Amino acid sequence: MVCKGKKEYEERHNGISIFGRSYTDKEIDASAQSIADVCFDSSESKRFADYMGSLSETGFSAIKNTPPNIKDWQVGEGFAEAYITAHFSCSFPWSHNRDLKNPNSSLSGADLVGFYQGKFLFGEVKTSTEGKYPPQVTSKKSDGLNTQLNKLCADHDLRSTLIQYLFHRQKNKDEYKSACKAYLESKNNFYIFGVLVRSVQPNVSDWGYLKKRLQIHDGEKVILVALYLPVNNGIKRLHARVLSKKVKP
Amino acid sequence: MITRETLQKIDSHWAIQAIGDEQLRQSILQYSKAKLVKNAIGGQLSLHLADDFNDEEALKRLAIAYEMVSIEGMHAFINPAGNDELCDQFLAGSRRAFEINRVLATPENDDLKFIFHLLHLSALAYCGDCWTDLKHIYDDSSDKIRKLSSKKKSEWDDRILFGLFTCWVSLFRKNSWKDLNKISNSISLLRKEQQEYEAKYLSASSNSENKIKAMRLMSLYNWAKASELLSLYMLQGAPSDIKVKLDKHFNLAIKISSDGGDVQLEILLRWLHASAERMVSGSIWWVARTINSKATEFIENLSRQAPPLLELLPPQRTALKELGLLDPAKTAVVVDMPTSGGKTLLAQFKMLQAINNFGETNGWVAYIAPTKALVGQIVRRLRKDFSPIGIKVEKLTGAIEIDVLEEDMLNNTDSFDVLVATPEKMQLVLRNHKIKRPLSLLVMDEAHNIEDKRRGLRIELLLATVKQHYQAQANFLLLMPYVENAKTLSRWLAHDRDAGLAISLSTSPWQPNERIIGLVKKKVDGRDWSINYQTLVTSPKTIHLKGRHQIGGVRPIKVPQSGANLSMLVVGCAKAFSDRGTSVVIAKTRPNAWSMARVLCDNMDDLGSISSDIELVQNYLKEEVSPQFELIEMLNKGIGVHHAGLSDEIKSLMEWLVEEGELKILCATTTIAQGINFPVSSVFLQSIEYPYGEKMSYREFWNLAGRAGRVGQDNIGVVGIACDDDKKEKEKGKEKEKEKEIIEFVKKSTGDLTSRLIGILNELESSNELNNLDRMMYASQWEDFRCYIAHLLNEKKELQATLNEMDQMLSNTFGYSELKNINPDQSEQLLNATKKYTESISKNMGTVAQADMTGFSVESVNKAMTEINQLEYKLTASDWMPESLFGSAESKLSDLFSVMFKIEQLNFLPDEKEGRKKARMAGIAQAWIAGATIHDIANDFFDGSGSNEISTAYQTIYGKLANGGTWGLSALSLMSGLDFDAMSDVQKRQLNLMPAMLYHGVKSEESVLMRMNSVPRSVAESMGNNFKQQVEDRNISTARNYLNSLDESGWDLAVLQSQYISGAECKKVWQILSGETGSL
Repeated sequence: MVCKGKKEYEERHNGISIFGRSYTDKEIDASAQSIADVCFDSSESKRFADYMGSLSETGFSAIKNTPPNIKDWQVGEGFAEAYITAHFSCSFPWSHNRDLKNPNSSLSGADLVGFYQGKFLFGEVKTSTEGKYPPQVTSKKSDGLNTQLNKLCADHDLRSTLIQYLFHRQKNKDEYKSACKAYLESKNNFYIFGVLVRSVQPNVSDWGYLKKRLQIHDGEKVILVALYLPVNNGIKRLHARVLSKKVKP
Repeated sequence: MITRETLQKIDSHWAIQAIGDEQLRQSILQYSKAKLVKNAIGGQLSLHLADDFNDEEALKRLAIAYEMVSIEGMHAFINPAGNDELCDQFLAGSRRAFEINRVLATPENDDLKFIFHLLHLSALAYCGDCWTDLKHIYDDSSDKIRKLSSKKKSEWDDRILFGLFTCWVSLFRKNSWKDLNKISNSISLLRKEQQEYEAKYLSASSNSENKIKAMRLMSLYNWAKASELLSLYMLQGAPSDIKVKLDKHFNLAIKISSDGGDVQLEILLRWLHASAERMVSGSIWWVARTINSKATEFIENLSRQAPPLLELLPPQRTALKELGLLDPAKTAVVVDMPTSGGKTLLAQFKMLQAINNFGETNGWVAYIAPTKALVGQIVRRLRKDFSPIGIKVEKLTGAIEIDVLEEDMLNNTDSFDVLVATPEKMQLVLRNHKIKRPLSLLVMDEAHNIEDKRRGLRIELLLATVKQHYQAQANFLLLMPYVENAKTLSRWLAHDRDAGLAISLSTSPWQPNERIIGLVKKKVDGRDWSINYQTLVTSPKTIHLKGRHQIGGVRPIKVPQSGANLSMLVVGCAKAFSDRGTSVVIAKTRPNAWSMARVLCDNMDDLGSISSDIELVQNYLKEEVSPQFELIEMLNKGIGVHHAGLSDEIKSLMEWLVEEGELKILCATTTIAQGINFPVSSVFLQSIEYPYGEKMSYREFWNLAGRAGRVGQDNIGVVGIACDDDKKEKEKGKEKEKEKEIIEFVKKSTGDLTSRLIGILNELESSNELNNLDRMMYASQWEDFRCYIAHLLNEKKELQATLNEMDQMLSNTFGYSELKNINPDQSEQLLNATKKYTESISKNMGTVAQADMTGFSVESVNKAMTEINQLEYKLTASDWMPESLFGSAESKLSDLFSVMFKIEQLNFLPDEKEGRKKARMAGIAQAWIAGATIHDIANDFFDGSGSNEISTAYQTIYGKLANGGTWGLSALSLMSGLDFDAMSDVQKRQLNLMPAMLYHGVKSEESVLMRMNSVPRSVAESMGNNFKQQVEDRNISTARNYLNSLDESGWDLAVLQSQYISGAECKKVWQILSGETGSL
């Protein structure tokens, strides 16, 4: 299980719950396996090869490909998911192949799609080592956390797709049904999670931009979490440790 | 097929219940319907809703809820071994989800979102059996769709995605064969482009992203392959294992997009997979793949028509695949299907089956349509579809006698496979065993006419005749809308209890489009007025939006408030709605229809440029009627007229203009309910009553209302019934009486179809006259029944044998067979009275034989004989020759009309029965045959050549001369004591042709042949002459071949005397009326 980390701040702003947690290298070591479990899928390579093999029947030529390296932001997402699973009792019905998560695709849905307190949870994760508070990843117009979270709140079609996406992966029918019922019963009856993975000194002003600009549907159902790794390459170290835990196929 | 039960059932699903209580859900649904109406006809109808609910967010949640219901069953639907209940849930959920999603805003500003939105919506429509609604959705977005070209995209994945989007738009739309054919070309092009674009796309990013991108491409490539396979299958019906192949590529595409984190692509692909499955199942290839070789040829031909027919409407698919329309063990099939549900295609499959199965014995199919206009329409349709596959279709004219030319055709074993006629005409053919080949199938279109007061008994007895004589081999197919007891009917006609099959789809939730039906009332505002529209609760279900809405603006027609009567109201409605497609105005009388058309002319602008189609009809009217004919000017404004006071040809041309989208408004009378077979956009009725106060039957009303809304073009069909405003009614002391009557009328269900025989008996019982049945049987309403009895007796030739079998023979009628079950006393009374009547007529078997031969009742034969004997001279063969009858000063025609006027069965009006107008009728007949125009006839015999006089002239010719006149003359010639043996063959032929000349208004055998083949009357004589000079062997078929072989110069030659119509135009009119293509 991912360690809980040290509480740096906790506050409420217009009903939004904001949490800050910091980690030591030791805690990172202890958490690495849980994060790796989220990030890697042992059978992925074989499936990929099978898919490549199937191309001959489509009339298209084979695709040239090289094996990928996992990126920092992917580890960050794994960390975020593992953390909120462990400490917010969230559940995500599929926890694998984050390594194939598409970065800037307009076809993608959301970084986190799961259940929290009997309701649907939709969330976005950003990783940043930027020394400024708040970091630009929270405010960038095109794909900043602000834009992404607002989109999750406002985009009915996107949420409809995510709910169907969850349906095809549900493991616990009752959990799905109760979240879906709650969603249908009243307006905005779902949770929004925004997670920042940082390797700077913990500071609540990381949320400064979002606190001002987030046009949230219902503050009571918005949770913002910042996970602070040790300064000086904390993210790189996490990356290395997670990679070392990867199970070889 | 989605049923009402399934739709009701899914409303108790937890996802739907989660939205809120029933009241809230109803408010949301009402809101969505209001949005639909507003989107569709907001320009014509301003809504003022009683319920101001407008929670858009709740609407979106309900859409998701229905989609949840649906996806729960998605796996079962795609999996062939899936649970049926879940499959139904999937389809019903999709339908409801579509109904809401179609009114939600389209994301126009984001191309990708737009693509996903439109494909998802289309998939919901497909899976919900609502694909006919897609056309106008695509039309609304056509500009946007055109702009989304893949060629503008440089990124490889976008290029494929946009390319596939275009392919799927073509697949969903199926506008043309060419569009679908382009799909495999587009996908081949993508394969070529792969080398050029793929490497660049992948190299532009890191290894990690490269792999993700590779996943996306692999998913898209599999989707592309599935799309290509689907398009080929829709075009050619191959490969036969299409479903397996589609499953394979869609499953791979879905799995790869799932592994690649392409959430939206994955969900879209799941929906497209399901719609591909649905598309294949509904394709003509899938449905008809195992029927027979004729059917295969037929569907190949349909798939190449423009626009191609590649898939069946949901009710058609259900009838064929699920309900066993073609089950060979079912000898009597009754199809109860909504208007515009595509009954004719089902009949075509059934006919092909019969022709295929009876090929060796040279069997034939009888197709019965209720009116001459519908006979013409059906023949055109059947010829278009059947000629290319070598199936011959012929029709018989509406004249109630079989002339020598028709006789030749009936005797020729190769002349036809399908014969189309009205019930009266087919009765003559079948009862007199005119065709020696085996009757394999009898198709009765609009068979609900069995309950028609005037003709119902005749139709029922025709079916009984077929049961009596042809049941051993003939099968039955009855087509009708809104009949609840289809099962009872099929059992009556079947060989045995299990051989009947009822296909009841009228009340199924699938309808060609949504409909609103409402009261149209005047709203007075000081000196101004406007039109109020109040939707009504109806059975079958239509959209009901509480509130008083407004059609058009203030004072929609330029008349003062005091002059805004019911006619003006419907005219105002039609004017307001005419921009959406043809609006039909139903007037109470013919003069009303003309005057409404005049008001519309005064209130509407010219069309601007006149299309060649309208010009063609105008020139035809100038030639056939007169250049001053009012209708010509009306057509300049896109206004047409359609009623019994016009020739069948003019009516057919009006219908053609509607089908071509050339008419904005068609002014008709209630008689159109009998014959309308073309979809229009809206229908407005001046009244639900016929001229003499008799109310339209529920089924007739719904058949008419069912035409409102064109499949694939209008998402809302609009029907309005005019009603006096409350104030006016109060003045009359009838507080809202009319309004209540209309409200109740549309609320009533159409109910069971009842035999007219039972109807008559019930009427007698309620007037306490049933005990006098022996005597009452001589009343005019029993005429057809008495003819039937005379026929049975004549067939048996012997009284006792007839009496012995009477019970059994009467059981062939629907009425008697039903009575035996529900009212044995009445059936006993009927049997006894019938026996008594049989005994009475058996005393003169010669008269009985004459009755059977002429179609007259024994009483009519007796009357005719008496009248003929009272003439001061004896009729000779030369009196009957056409040149004497129609051309000489000594013509006996006037006297013959005085005889005919006295025969009730011939249906001349009371004043004519008294004989006062016999000279006029004879004069009209002579002028008609001599080639006088209808304009001249109106002038000479009806004191003027205005539209009303022209209508009366047409009504006299087509309503009386062509029916009672031809029948009467033909029958009288057989009874007048002529020595046929002493006549030469030429004389016999002339005598036999005489009624046909009268029917067609021409004076030679060749011109009759031309008229039988739909050549306009004004050129029939000259064309007939040319034909006579060029062709030796002259019959219906060689005449048709001749016309088909004529090039433009041949037509030019025929119109040398014509002032207004060119050879090319004349040929075009002939093509429209005959359904032939001619030489190109």
